[in-house]
Amino acid sequence: MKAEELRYTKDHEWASRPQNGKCLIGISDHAQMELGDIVYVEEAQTGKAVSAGEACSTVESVKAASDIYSPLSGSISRFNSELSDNPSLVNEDPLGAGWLFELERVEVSDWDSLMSYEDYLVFLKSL
Amino acid sequence: MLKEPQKTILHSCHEKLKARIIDFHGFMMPVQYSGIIKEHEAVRNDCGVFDVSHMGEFELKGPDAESALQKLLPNDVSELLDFQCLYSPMLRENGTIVDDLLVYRYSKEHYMIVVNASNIDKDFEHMSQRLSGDASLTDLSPKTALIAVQGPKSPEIVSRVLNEELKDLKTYFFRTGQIQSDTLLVSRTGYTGEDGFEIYLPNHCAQIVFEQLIEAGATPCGLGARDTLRFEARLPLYGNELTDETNPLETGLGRFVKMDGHDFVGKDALQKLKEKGIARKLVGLEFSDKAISRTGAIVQNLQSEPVGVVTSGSFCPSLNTSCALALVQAEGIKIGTRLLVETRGKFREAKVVKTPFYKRSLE
Repeated sequence: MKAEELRYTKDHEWASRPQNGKCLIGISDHAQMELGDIVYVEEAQTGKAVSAGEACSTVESVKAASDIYSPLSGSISRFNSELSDNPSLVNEDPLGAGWLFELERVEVSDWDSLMSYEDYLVFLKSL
Repeated sequence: MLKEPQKTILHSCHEKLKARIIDFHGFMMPVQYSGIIKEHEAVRNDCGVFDVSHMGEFELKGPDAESALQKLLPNDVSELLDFQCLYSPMLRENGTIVDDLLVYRYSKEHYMIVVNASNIDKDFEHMSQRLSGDASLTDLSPKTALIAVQGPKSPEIVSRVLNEELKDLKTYFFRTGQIQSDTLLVSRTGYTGEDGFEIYLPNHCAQIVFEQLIEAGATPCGLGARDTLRFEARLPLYGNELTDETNPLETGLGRFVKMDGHDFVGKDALQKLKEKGIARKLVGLEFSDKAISRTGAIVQNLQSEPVGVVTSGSFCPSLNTSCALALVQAEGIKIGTRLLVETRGKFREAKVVKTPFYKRSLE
């Protein structure tokens, strides 16, 4: 996916544009670089209803662990099971093959209110 | 007063190499360049180079240097030959650990002592206050750079760069040589569990040697990889396994403490502890998944009673598993024992396993 097509949070998660109420969640390129070599991604609990800002997984690198907060309210419909064997996908392709989980029952209006890529870049500069 | 973090003489090299720099005990140090796992693997399979100039170097000189050192350290300095190194903890009167260090003997009247960066001031004061006889202690740290070159290819690379055949240098021995009319020292030592060398040299020669080592094929490695490497090899880290509150007998340093020999600071206290029975021990733990229980995580038995604490926890790149070292009660815990270890608020099962987690195969 293209960075410009995604929306972002201040915790460095991204969400893809919802289609039929479904979208993918991951972490930004900045986040994966900050974390360094990722060695473990905690499996997000499928079927669980989550609100925006709720912790629902953890990404662990050699040096640090980082909670992943759902950018949107919805229900976790899928975890990227590829990450169980190959967590480094998050480093290699954070916006693509390294997606973390899928949400369903997501409101497009919620997604619209997240940061655009442009806004996110401005936010990164302010850090 | 907060001190500005110090930069090592190689700081500009790290910036040029786009290292990620952190404040490590008051020193601006590279934590990684290309990535911790890549650097870790370079050391295990090839050759890595580390700037460890933040380490402290003291010189002890004088006719009574040997006996003065012997009194300060529980390991037996008198067994050393000229140009040989020795690892030892250093203790307080109450048996707790001030630091762990390396002793380099030039002669019975001249030693170099290498200490941890975080402990330089504390060690210098501790030693100065307890020096006996005719011996003087000098801190050489500010003018000394230290470059570690580690990994199976390090003999070839170091020999080439220093223009000196070093393959025959024995483990825990050292040699001195000339560089730009100054003296450098090379020892067959390290902190990675791999074959390797440590090169002590005057600040103004460090940059060229560091750059030549990289040109010759050594991968620049940061403190991140240094930590995963030492952890796999179960080499203790001061501040984690070894602290101001722990003693060497419970932290697995028993073989470096010569209870039957000379008198040393802390011996009486250790004798008493030994008679009472050593209550804690350091064990290795292995997890079935790759989540990491980090320093300070609580360890419980299967009845959920607290039995200890994690001193270091890390992913082990060589084993592709997550492991931990923990200081636990000695009684009832042995290889194979199942324990519960805290991981971000939840407890999960771990098994006590043999350490080191990684041991290099000798050809």
